[in-house]
Amino acid sequence: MILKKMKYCEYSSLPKAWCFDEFNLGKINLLVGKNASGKTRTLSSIFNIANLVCGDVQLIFKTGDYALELENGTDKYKYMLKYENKAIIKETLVLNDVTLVDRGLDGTGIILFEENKNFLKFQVPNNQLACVVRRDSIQHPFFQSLYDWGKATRLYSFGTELGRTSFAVYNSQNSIDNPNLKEPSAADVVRIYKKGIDQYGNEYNNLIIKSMSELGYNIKDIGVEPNPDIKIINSLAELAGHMMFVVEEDIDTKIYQLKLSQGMFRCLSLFAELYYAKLAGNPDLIIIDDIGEGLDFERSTSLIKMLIDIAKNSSFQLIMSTNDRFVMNNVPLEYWQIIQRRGGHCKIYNYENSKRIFSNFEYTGLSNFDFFATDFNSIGQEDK
Amino acid sequence: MKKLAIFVEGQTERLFIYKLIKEIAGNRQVAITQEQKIQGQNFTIIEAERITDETKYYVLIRDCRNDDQVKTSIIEVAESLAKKRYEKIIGLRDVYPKRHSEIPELQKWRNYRVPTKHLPINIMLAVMEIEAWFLAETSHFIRIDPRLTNDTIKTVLGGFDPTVNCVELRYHPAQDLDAIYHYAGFAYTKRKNNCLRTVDSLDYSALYLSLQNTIPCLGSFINEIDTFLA
Repeated sequence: MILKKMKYCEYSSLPKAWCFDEFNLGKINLLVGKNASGKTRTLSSIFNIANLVCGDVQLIFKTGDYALELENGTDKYKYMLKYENKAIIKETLVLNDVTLVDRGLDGTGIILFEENKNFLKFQVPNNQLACVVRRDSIQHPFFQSLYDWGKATRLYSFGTELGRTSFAVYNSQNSIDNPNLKEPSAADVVRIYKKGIDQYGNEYNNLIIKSMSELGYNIKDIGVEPNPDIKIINSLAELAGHMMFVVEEDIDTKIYQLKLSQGMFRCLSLFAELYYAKLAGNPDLIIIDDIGEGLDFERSTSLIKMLIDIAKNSSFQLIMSTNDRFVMNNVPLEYWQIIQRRGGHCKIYNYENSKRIFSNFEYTGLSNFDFFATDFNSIGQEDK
Repeated sequence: MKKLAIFVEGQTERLFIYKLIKEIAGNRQVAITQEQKIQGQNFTIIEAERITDETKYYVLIRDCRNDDQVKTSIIEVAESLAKKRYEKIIGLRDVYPKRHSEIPELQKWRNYRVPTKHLPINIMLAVMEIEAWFLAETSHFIRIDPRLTNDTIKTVLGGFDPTVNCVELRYHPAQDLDAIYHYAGFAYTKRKNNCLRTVDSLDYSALYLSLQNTIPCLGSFINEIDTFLA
């Protein structure tokens, strides 16, 4: 399932309103914008609605107004969710122009029962999404696609430590908590890597090693084991802190993640997560915030090319954000989404809604970064 | 000492222009520095000829390693080059992979954002690629391999005869070169040795004396060099 269009608004009637207009998405997307233009917030909105429709989170904020269009093969889904004071005012699901679900403020509405092809009344608590609580693969199979999409959405915040200073703790049976695959936090990276190795062995490891080598990190082995320098004492047992390590080509010793550079660990962590997601989860949507952050020119250039290549050869949709010059210069404009914010109102410009300006720019001979940095940035003029 | 800076999109252009200037300059005292873009916005020196008291002309050739970096790189350093008393900056980029039909648009936007207050800047196009100029200099083919006669070239190019037809009509001249060389078991790639094999085989007097009159872009470029060396 691919997210084709989205718009979002919160606190629409208040001074703290924050919205973005409807924009089209492609299979590969690079959201660019100046600092504080709303890139991370836009990505969070996409991730939030993905979490909401699969029930991974409850209504977090007081208000929200989402409209999405998703495509699954030839099927076109339109999903709309609006809530205020954590009560749902409107929720609709339209499949191929047929409204299958329509519920309102008091939680009542109509829904298609697939078996008898009947639309019947239903009621759900007004703080719960019908697509979550009425998920039923026999009677309402249309919810399943939405649910699967939400479950198969991943968010990686590349600009963070991505778990470099964290470790995973195993108990005496060598079991481990299930990692949070959707938004891996600190210790999840180690857990994800361990699961990848357990399930896919060398196939998984080799993919990571190969990608790291392509970025210029010459590694001959990667593994996970207790870091002998770290001991955790609790009341029940002495547990060892597991960490990832690498063995570089020219240094025949294990270097634990704490000792790796932040840039190197970010790449290692991203590949560990991406390849696990690819091998295990068949993700529908991968969101990477701040891609390229902390990497030098050569590596950010190579990384972005590799990610685009991986995305082109996989079924998942990729949405990244950046304000890194080298990343921008290496992503074709056809993938660009330029975000501009006026107060709490964001507009996102792309080849589809601003074709004339995008194609004109390609004739200027300037680098992509200049598109972002010059007066072409006032591309909203095309609307006039 | 007169100073000129030329920004090009790749290694082939850098190697060719170095040789072309040397051939045109003859025994005039020219010192050329060749640089290549490295990390970010920085350039590294590939080769720098010694400047002496006799040096009358100095040319800086910068390989920007990408067509979309030519103009951007010029804009970034125009002011500082003017302060260093360069008298002109030339940028040279291919039209390919754009189409012939897009040349008017490329011309229209050629000078967009090019600063005018520091020193003259001329962004020039090679239609469709600089390799068109190599293709036109047909005598170099038999110097690479005797099997690459004019008849062979015409056959490989499906009837197109670069001794008669305008090479600027070819969409992807680099691919044409590759196809022709393949006939003799060679390839034309962007690798330095491959580029040098071609660049070193060209007859620069033919390019200067006759071909510049039939290939408008080459003519314009040589005119810039002539003006500088006048």
